[in-house]
Amino acid sequence: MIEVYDLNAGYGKLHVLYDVKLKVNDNEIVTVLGPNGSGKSTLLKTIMGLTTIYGGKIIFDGKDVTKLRPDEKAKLGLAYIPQIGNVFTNLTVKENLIMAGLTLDKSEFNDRLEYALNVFPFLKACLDRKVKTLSGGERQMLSMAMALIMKSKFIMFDEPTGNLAPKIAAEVLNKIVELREQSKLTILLVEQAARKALEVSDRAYLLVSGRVIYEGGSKELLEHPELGKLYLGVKKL
Amino acid sequence: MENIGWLLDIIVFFAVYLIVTLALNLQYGYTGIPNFGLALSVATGAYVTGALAGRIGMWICGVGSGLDYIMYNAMITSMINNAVRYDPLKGLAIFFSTIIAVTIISAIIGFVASYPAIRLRADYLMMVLIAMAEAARIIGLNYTPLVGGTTWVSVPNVFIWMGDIAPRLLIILILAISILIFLFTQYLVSSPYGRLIKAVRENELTAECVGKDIVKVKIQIMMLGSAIAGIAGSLWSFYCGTVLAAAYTRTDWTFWPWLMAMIGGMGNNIGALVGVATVIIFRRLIIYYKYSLEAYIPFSVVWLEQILLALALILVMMFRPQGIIPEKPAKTKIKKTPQQ
Amino acid sequence: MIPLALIEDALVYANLLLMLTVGFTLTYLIAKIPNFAHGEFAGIGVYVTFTVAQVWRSNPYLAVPLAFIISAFSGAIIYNGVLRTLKRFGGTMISLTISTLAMQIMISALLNIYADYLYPIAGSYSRLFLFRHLDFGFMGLPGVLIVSTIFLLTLITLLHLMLTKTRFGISLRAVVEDSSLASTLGVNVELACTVSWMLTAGIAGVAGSLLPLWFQGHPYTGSMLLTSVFAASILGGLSSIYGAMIGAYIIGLTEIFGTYLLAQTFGAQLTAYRSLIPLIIMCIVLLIFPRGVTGLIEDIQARRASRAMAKIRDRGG
Repeated sequence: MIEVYDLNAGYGKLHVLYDVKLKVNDNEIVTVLGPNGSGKSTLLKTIMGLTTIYGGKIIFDGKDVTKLRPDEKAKLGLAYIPQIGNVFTNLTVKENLIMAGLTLDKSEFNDRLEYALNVFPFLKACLDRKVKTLSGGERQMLSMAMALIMKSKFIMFDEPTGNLAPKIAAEVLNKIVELREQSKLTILLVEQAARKALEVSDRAYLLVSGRVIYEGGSKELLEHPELGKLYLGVKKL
Repeated sequence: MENIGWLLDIIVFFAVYLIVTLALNLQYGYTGIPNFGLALSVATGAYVTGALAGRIGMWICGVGSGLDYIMYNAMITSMINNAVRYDPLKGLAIFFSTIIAVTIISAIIGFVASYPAIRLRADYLMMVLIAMAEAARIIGLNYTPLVGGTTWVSVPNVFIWMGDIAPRLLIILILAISILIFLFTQYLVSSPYGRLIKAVRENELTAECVGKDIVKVKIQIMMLGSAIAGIAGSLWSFYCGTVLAAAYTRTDWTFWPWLMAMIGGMGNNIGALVGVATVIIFRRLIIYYKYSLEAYIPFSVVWLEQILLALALILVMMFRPQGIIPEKPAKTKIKKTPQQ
Repeated sequence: MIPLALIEDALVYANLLLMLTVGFTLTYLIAKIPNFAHGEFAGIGVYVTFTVAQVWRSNPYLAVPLAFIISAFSGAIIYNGVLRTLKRFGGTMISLTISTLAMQIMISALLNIYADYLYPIAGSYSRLFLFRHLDFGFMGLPGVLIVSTIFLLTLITLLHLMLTKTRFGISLRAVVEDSSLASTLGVNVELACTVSWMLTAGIAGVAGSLLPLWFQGHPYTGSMLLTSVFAASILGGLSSIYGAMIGAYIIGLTEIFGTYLLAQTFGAQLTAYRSLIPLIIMCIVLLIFPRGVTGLIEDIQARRASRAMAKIRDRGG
């Protein structure tokens, strides 16, 4: 579904990603792991079009989308749920959900809204509350609800379990797997909680200092005796 | 001898605008405070000169007592000039006491104008300063006892005792003062204080963490810059021999200096020099070729200048925001520790 | 007894100021910079009315929609031609703000050129004019007061409905808060910004087009109004257009009534210092409650919320 070649990107003059090559097939869940500062978030942002691209290509569904604006990519079916700044705190819950369903038409939006509210029933009570009155966990659930509503084929999650309590984190990851099963979505996941992410994903990439240093099946990586060392970039493959 | 008249004209223009631009560079180039109310400080210098120089002259020369300074301005001024013609000390006293008053009052105005918004975002500061500059013009235009409102006041010719060469010598003096101010600001920015203000510009949060009182530094720079710009306004008034409130417009004394500083290169004083020279030469060219230009352009050259000013500002920002002479890391003296 | 004419003065002025301030605050929220050229959109409106009323000898109210279109168009040119281009060349907030100042200079020069150009047709009238005599009256009230009030109420209502009920309006508020998140969700941010610039410029143009029906029009109308617009925006709190409305009305009424009171007490020459009133209010606001009226309301709401939380805690414990 999506392929990235020789991607070099960063922020302004700050070069973060070097010659990144990545591929996610239809209906897969792929994880990107790596230590802090390795460029994982930057990779997702770059695919979405929020950074400066120095070179390389991004191919989505056979189309070259490298130079497109984020909103153009959204309309093609690419979605990105950032770690922070993933909800509008000055808007109400309902308005956030409306924003999520921007690319949908009226009837489709109503259906998905109903579905999302059934998955997260607590939202029904807060529809007219401003999001800034919600707690951190509730906001995270709201962003998941928004992901359920978005008309997308491919969703990128940046550390969806973030600062969540383990029970809620597990729920979130389960929802992500559900999305793959029920809505036939393709998912790219960035996670710090390496083990949990590897347990739910099919394949994984290891990104260290802006470069991909490992690519393989998640099971293999989980059983890899030196996962830790790889992770910290000490041992090279 | 007469041929260099136009050259001296350019020189005094250059010197006065250099002082103003140096003040701006200090405030924005080095400290990062965008001052769009620069005309306020220049106008203050001019208005104080117009209001005080003659009155001080009245007092020192003991003439015109009981007369209203504004109503009998022409007569009082010629009386002062006559007194000074044969007494250089009186002239110098008027001159220097006025300059000192200008410096102090401009610094105070710089404080008053920036205080409300100095702790707030740059946007607020810009709005307040622009509004203050407008207010100064309105006060000057309407408060007649200050500088005669919509008419003008004359400024005593304090160097009249030098005879015919007085205007020329005044120009040389103004040039000398501008060079002094240049050297002063150079010294200031190469000193530890210069490092401090640059730190304020680069990263306020960090500077604050190191224990420096940011607001105090900004206020100091606003006062200093205002004083310097006020001196420019005062010198210009002495040169013109008159103060006309309406002449201290935003365009002439805020925007042109900004263009000069930007073209030359913000954040370095040599840049200010280059910028001022470039813009002045360009403006002179427009004035001299005014008549031939007006044949091609269906409107007054005054508006053409403004359009070119606006275009120049935008183009410089787009294509050469660092100016002709970009800022280089400054060399500041390292303090020798006891061990060295 | 307050003269009726003074009340009419105050209301017309406050109405026009409200239109300008709402636009200025909205542009500030969207673009994150103050638009120093905002007053000039009104200036354009002023001269559209002059052209329609004096040169074409038509009903001045025909100028209103024309002024909206021309000003909106100018707003689009400024945003797309200057601001977006600068951003592409790596413009900082300061340089974008400076570019709006440059645009103010340019439009002001163009208005002056236009006024000069009209001189042969209209004489010195082109640089200072008043069209009260061309206005209609209704129940003893001047037409411009009625029209501006109706326009205002319609504007506020439509704006409120748009921002809360339409997808475009909600997207706009989303862009104001977080433009990259909005972009990720499918909002064409540049288009949203362009439309709102055109809207605010157009509204300013309408305000300018109505102005000469009550107050004197001249090439510097726009820049002279700017101080009051700043004061009104800051008083309202640069974070909400509803605050802008309150701020504009307070400043507008204070400016007119205040000048009248000062003139009555100290003499007629004080009317020239009229624009010092908004300046002084601006300074007081910045010194005491810099977040403006909106900030005050938010503080009161926050205090009420924390008191409610405390009550719940106490009851539970």
